[in-house]
Amino acid sequence: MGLEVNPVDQEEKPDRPDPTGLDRVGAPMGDDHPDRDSPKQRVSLFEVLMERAIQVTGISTMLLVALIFLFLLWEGVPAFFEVPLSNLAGARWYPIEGLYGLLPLIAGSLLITIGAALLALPLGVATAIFIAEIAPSWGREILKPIVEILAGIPSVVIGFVGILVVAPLFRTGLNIPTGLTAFTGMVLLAWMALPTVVSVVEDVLDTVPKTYRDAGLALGMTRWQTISRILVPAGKSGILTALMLGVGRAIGETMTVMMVTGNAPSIPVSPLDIFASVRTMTATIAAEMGEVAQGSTHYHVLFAVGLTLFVITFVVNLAAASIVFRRTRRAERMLS
Amino acid sequence: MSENPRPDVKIRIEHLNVRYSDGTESLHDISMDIYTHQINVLFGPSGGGKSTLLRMLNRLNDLADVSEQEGRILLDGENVLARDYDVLQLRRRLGIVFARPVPLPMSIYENVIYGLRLAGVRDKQQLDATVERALKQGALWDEVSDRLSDSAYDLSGGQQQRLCVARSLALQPEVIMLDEPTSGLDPISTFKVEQTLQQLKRDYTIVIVPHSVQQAARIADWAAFFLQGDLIEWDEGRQLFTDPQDQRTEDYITGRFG
Ligand SMILES: Nc1ncnc2c1ncn2[C@@H]1O[C@H](COP(=O)(O)OP(=O)(O)OP(=O)(O)O)[C@@H](O)[C@H]1O
Ligand SMILES: [Mg+2]
Repeated sequence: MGLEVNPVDQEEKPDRPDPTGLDRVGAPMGDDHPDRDSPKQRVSLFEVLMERAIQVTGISTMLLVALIFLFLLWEGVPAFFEVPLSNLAGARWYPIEGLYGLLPLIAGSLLITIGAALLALPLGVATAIFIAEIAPSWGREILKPIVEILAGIPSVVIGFVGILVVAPLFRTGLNIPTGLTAFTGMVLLAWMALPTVVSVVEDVLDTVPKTYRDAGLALGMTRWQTISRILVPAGKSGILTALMLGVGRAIGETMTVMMVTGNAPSIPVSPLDIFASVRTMTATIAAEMGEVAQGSTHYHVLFAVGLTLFVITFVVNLAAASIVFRRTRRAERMLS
Repeated sequence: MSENPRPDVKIRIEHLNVRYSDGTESLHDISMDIYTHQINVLFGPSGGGKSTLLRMLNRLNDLADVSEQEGRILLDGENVLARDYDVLQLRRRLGIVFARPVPLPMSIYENVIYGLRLAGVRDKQQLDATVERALKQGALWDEVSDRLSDSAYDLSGGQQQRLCVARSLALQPEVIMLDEPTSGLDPISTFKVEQTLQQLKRDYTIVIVPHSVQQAARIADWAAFFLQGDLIEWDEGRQLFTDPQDQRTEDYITGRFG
């Protein structure tokens, strides 16, 4: 019952009872009508086809990911046999002399990513709060598209702006020998992660029930107290997810960091080293892959770098997903 | 109207008009009183403006799209709609509990003392005492006294609602407003909340939007019937539910429409 679809009014929701109690075409509701059989079968055939199509698409996507991973393994794992582990774990990346220390690259990537996250989080959350809670509606209309446009700027362009504007500014402003530093990379990556963080946090704040705001205000809180002590804590896990997504974009980013971080493979040791050059995993792969002989040790090591990056990104995404999962579970519990 | 001497007026509403900016006139020339230590019931069909009136009383509607408001709301003789009226103080004097319980994402204990913490109270002893008093008044103490540090989300719906009542009580308000506080609750929890109200009216003034006519009739000391923004009838509960003066009131309470 309730699932038969009348061919005349396909657009009507099939299982919603007609408020008048009468079917539009005048036929009584029920399964006993012989004319009903053919459309019923057509619909179910269509459904089966759709289901299959979706299944195939889904599975092929998974296969593709698996294949990429296998390819990475295939090309990257030999590096661990060709180069002694002590070399790979070393502090010097100098392929011409056979030194393949991954530490400076990992350190460079982590430094820039964490730095970018630390910059993007407060800025992004503040912007989202402003857009969602404080700005008058016309301000919202202007700001939202701007954030979206920001997300669409190609990373080459951001890198270009970095080289031409941001780096010189830092060099003269901070009085350092070169503007192409880890810090420059952080700032630009934060800029790139910002739109993601802003839009996700904004969505999160949107889903915090209006009654929470009322509850806060009704307790005699100011608007700011309501935001900082109720809305943000209530959206905490969503905000973390936003950060992870932003970071996910930042850690895989190649072009911008290659252009603005100076690419010197050194391990940062003191806090001041954020104003020195670093080299990230992505930039290394992009810069060197074109020059290595296929099948050489250097070639395999570059894939090993890619593999490492893959694992790190995977872990970050997994963490994000598990947070989202926890959030839905809690939401379900709240509703029950 | 009844001949008994009237109780003291806590809130006097004079010719209140409220219109939202989408054009709906939600309250039209409302004049009535809220009496001290009474259960004041606002009831009527959906969209009548009951919630709007509650939200006007403690100015929660300040942030809503209200395009026009006229009239006065006098709390102890002072107009709360005046521009320079201390709204934060007002909201502590007039606590409100909503239809769906809104526990804050924290422990039971923290929920209750939240308003006090904001007001800057630090003294642990005072906070502990408040929690116990408020939860006892909210008829929840016996059920949660041994697990105050549990998350408020672990409580049942009815317990959460009483927690919200307790949270308002912790601020020692003068008036407690409840907007369909039992609409999501089972009969037993509903009964507990109603019982709690009978206790509370000794110390507080209560304004409630009940979730059914039956509930209205059960608890009302004073009742006001709202229909599409108009106050149709306002009288002592006993009088209004047994011998309504207006035909529309009678139709509604006898279930002929609504
Ligand atoms: N924020 C708002 N913006 C615009 N119109 C609103 C807003 N809140 C309420 N209204 C309108 O004001 C009228 C009265 O609404 P209100 O919520 O006060 O009714 P109610 O008596 O509480 O109804 P219910 O029993 O359904 O809760 C309705 O027509 C409603 O559409
Ligand atoms: Mg309402």
